[in-house]
Amino acid sequence: MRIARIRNSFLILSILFSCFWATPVQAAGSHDGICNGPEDVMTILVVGTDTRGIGYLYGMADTIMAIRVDFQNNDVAIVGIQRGHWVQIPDVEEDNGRTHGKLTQAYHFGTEGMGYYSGSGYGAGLLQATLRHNWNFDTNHYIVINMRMFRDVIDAIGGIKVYNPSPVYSFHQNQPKYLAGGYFFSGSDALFYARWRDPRNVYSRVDRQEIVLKAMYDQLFSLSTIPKIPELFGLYKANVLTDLSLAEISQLLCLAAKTPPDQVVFTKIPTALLYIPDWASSPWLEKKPGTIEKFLGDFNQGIYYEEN
Amino acid sequence: MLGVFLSSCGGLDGQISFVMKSTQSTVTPLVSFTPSIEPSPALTPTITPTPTNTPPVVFGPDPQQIAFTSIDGELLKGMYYPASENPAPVIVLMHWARGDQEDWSKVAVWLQDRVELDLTPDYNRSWRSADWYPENNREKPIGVFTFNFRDCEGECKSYLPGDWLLDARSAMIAVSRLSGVDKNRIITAGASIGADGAIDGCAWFNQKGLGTCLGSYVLSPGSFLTEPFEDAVGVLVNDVPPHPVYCLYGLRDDSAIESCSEIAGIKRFDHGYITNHGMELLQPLQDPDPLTLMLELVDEALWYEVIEGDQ
Repeated sequence: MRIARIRNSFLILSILFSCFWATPVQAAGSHDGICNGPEDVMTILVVGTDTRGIGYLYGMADTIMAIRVDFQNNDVAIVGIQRGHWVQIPDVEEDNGRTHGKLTQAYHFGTEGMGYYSGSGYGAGLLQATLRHNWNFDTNHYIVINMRMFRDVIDAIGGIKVYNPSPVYSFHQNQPKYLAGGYFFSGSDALFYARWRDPRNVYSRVDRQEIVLKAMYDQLFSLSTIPKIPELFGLYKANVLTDLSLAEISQLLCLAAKTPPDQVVFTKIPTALLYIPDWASSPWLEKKPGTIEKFLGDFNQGIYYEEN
Repeated sequence: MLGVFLSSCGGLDGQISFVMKSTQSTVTPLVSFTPSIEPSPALTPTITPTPTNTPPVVFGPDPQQIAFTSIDGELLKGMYYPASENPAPVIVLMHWARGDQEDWSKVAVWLQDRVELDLTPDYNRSWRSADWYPENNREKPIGVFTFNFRDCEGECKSYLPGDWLLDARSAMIAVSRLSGVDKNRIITAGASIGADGAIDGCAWFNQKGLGTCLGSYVLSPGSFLTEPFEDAVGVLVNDVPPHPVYCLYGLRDDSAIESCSEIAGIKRFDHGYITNHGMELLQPLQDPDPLTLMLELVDEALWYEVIEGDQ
């Protein structure tokens, strides 16, 4: 296994458009790190939901990631967690005693609209509890972004340029949906590309999300967008759920701007650890118990792996 | 490393250097502290006095370019508009990321009620279009200081919030050392990143015992400079006596709304143009008028002048 050093962008997406919603404002931690960041490592659960409208009353977790930020050592890493994992969902208070489901459903049951979870953070809170319960994986903050927000942000920064490295196919056509090559995407285009399910490669979705996020990073820190960052921050943050304070978001944004993109690690739970059935929407299972917990535990300790 | 800089900010004497030049000269950096500002030799009238029953209007020396080094050694450029009398209070104006100190130039001249205020309208930038500015009836002299955050000439080209925080604090030190400035009568104002710089610089200046910052006027803050806005506001409004903070925001500017709402004692003013941010809040036909509020903040911060004037 070797350490991967890949460009980041999800950090930027996450921190730019955050808000307080149903969570008390918290003062930032002690200021000893780069950009006045806290001493302790910050691990942020990032959820992209599949709701297209305004708000977060319902929704499934379409994208699940965790960002590990170490302000002391200027170390930023992102791990992608597939939504299809079959897990035990703790603390579900209704639904006829349900105890298990896909990871994406853990978020859904906790949403305010479903109301199956009475802890803090609604869907993100239950998803955090689920990650902790199954894999002993702790995240100490969350950010939730819906599809409308994702689209609007990309439009607001003027669209993004992406390079698609390999053809992406559809269920019904023999020709690729996307050929390999460069594209300029509006918000809607980028959303479609990031969410598309390729029947020949179900795992490529996470990779395409990474591509989109890197492109967002590049555009956000381009000369034309930098002066507008504070304004964008104010205009869009109310459409995001987070328990991060404004100052913490600014610290993260500051660190992102200072961190050379190629120093950011991007990793994901390796397919080698998983049993993925042929049926596309079936749940994914861990081949050997304890391996995902070990992988995520190492991630939280700053040890990152890439698939061979 | 930033933390190291910040933690060492307690003893800053001698770490800031600056030089002053007239506006006709090129700004030249100096490597050491040079209190080179000559006391205003005599007031330089820029208009010909006419025999009237009212005292002749007197203006301060011409605006002068200032170069100073920040706490971490970055050379920064500023502009000092001296008051007509020394020592005088000073207001430090901090710019937003979509512009630089030039965005405050008309307001600076208007604050001093100078005759050279250019009324040529700028239809794309209301804040640089003085034709709508309210009348300034303040009769007490006041200096004005503006500066550029690092890498922000024209507009900001890098996103450096942690460094801009240092710039704001450094500007407070630099202005407190300018000739003619009463370091115990400083006021700050700013927009967007400058709003957070103004609040943080003001509170930090007082906490470090470097002088007294008496109040702050901010447009669209958002904790943009990595420090909690509410903490700095708390330092000012909870001081004895409390220092006024006026906070203006657009109705869709959520970070500003949150910031302006977070602390008791702050005076909040929402803005009719809901999407406007930062300098865009300086628009005509607003109620209350944003620049009238700035004058009110200055008067409230310098309340003792009003009392003296009444006596």
